[in-house]
Amino acid sequence: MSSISITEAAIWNLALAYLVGPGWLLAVGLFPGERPVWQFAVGGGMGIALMGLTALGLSYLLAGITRTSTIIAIIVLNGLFAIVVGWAPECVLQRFSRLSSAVRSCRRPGWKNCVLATFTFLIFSTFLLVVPSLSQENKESYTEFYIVDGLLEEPPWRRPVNATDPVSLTFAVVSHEKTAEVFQVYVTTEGETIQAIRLGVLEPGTNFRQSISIPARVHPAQRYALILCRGDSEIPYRTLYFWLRTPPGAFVTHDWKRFSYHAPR
Amino acid sequence: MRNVSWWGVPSLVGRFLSIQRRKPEQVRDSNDRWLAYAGVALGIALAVILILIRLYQPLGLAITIEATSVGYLAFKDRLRAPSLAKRGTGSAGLMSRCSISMAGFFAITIAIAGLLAIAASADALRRPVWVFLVLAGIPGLILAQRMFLPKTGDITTLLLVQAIMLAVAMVLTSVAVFPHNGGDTWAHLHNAEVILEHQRVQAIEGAYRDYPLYPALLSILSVSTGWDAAQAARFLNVFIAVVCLLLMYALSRQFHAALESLVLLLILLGGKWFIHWATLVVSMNTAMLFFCLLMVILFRRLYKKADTKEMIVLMIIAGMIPFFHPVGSVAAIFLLVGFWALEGSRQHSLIGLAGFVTIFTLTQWMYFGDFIFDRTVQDLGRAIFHSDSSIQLASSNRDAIVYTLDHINFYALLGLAGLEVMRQLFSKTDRLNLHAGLLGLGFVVFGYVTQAVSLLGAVPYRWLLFGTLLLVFPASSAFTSLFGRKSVWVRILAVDMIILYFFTGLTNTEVNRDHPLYGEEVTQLLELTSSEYAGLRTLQEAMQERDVAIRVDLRLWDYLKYVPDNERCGCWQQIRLDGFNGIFAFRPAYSRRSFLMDSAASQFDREQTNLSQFYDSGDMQLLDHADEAALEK
Repeated sequence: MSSISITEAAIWNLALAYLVGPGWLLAVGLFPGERPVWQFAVGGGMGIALMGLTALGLSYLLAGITRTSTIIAIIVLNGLFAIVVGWAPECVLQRFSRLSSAVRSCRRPGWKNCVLATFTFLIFSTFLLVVPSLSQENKESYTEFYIVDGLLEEPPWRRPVNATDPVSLTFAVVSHEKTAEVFQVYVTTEGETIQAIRLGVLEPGTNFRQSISIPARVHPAQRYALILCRGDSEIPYRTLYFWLRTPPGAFVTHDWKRFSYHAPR
Repeated sequence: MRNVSWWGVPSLVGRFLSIQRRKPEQVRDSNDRWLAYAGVALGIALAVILILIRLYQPLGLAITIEATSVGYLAFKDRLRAPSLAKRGTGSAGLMSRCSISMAGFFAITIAIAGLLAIAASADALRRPVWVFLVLAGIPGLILAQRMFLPKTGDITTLLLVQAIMLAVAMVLTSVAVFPHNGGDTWAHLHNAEVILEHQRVQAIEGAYRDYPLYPALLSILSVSTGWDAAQAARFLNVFIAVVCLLLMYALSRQFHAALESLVLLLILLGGKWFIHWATLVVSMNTAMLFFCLLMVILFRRLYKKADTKEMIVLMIIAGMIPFFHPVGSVAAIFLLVGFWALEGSRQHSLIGLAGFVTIFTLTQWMYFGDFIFDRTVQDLGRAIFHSDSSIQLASSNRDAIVYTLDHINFYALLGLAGLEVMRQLFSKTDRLNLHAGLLGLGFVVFGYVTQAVSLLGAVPYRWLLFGTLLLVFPASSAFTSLFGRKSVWVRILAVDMIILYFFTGLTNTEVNRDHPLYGEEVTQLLELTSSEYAGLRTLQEAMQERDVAIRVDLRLWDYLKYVPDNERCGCWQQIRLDGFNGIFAFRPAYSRRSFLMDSAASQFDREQTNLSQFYDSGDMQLLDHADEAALEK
């Protein structure tokens, strides 16, 4: 098991203790005669209530909800309820007495059972150790492909641009694939590729950006496509389209009607 | 005969139902037989009415009432006979050792099967069918150990551990990875981030400001552990499901034998509504937890005298619920009042507590929050005075057969609980079963009534969950009485029934949101994929940078409406590009999920002039439509 998994499992256990601790101490302090499973379960529920109360309280204090303030608050709560438990020492003795009798009863049938019980406990612990590593990752694979200028206040397609003026655009590829992949981007218009850009191998999590220059247009309805291909495949994996608007009167209207646009997909 | 107190009708009801331990010979055969006949008549009448008004979806409910009543008449004697649950569980020697070894082996098997199921659910939109078969098979294995292994007293803890592992696996196979559920989930995660940023719950805006503690809990977990809000939410889901199970088990063990308590765990865990809410990443989870906690503390009064300590805990719980979930606090009030009505004059302090909770809840709604109270009043008014389509709303859009199959798991629970409640009404030998059964039926009836009067604001499914949490007690007793016999074939049947129960619970369309067994259009109502989530983030960025109108569909809107500075962002029922000038989100899923968008979405022309697409993550595409007229200006 990797160190990351162990760390994550440790955090899960810490969070568990964090949530259950104050509530369990309170349950043991207030209801010492109940079964251990009852106290643990009620402690878990009370822990959530106390945590909520802490959040509400901290929100109205100067400290606010920060890492330091919450950890201090939980330590204070634990201490407070430990004192409550301490006020009734017979409860603590009862706890130990029950625990020792449980251990004795476990040993009675023979050492083999004890070993088996320990083994089963280990299995359960291993189960809990492995679970966090299975639940922390987003395992869907996809790639984001976008025109960075589209996020700006005035992207190129929202302002008229003279047909002969070059237009500069920046595209971004963000890989969330499971493994490193090879990518290519093709800039096409009117069914023809005008630029081919090899991005090389992109590791998962890579955010690749590159500027491209769009040449002069030949008719006002001309549309461009940015096609992202993965690996050796020529089938588009992601596609972006954009228009560039030309000021009125830049083209004679009949010129562009003979062009027809075929979308790549 | 005791005097009638001033507590009025509820007290009389309580007196009528007051528990007196009767000897078997005192059980009034004729009365419960008449009750069963009344159930048969009610079932027939309900079925006839539903057929007459051509409302076929709830026919299963009428059949359940019918089957329960007839079943009671048929199995009355068996229900009364001692079952395996009542037998001694002494343990010693070779047999005991054999049982422990077997249980240990099965614990390892279940752990491995659970981990495999979680690992195979990496893409929660496309879980393989075997995951459902494994998850449905594990409870059969657990029950089989209890029913077939000799001297099972020593393996109680091992079986509990196995059930916990099953619960962890069931929840995590649904929430371990994206997609999260749409709507509320995103809003809660976003609110958790808002709290982290501002360090105050007051920073939350909109309706969620009224009950801010679920996202606050996520923030605290997040800030303490270093997780992001989504991971904290997943952990909390697992934690709450396990604690709910333990709470119910702990309460059951105070009254029932180990077999009944184990059956209760399994019936609860496989229950349609429990799975539904335990696997949704929403604040209703906490309401479910507090309801269980309240039940455990409240029903403690059935075996221990109430004291100040208990009252303190009850007040802490009751005081915190409104800050976690508004429906939870209403359910708590119903539970307190119901319990007081059943117990009559013996629990006077409860009515004071119910009064405190009511006043506290209303105060919280009116003065801390600024949304729930208004909406509740408006919804109630609308339902009572303006409703003219009750039947339409009650019927749902699904086919009657699909609807019935979807609810068959709940009907089974209802039927089993009904059997035990009918038995307890006259024998009165188990106060927990009687009280929990009657209160549970009350919640279920309330849930159906809210549907019938079109009170959508009362969210009927939530009441069916609260009903489930109560009905599992009598249902487990009835199941044990019916199937916990010495006959091997009956026990094999019991194991089969549990497997079938789990399978129908896991695969019904409200719970199973992927599509190995159903079509996507039915099951993906609430889902967003992670790439759609990435798209939403980009859209948020665009909202901050650009001063143009933004339109999304209803599900995305649920998330985005709570983003700060979202005045330009709105919801779009249909994509209508004419006259629109701005950004809109397009999801390829529109062509598959008809409920997301009307047919206009699949008809829209991607090649229109001035339509630019600037973001593509596969599941989310952002398009910018610069309207011609707007550009001319």
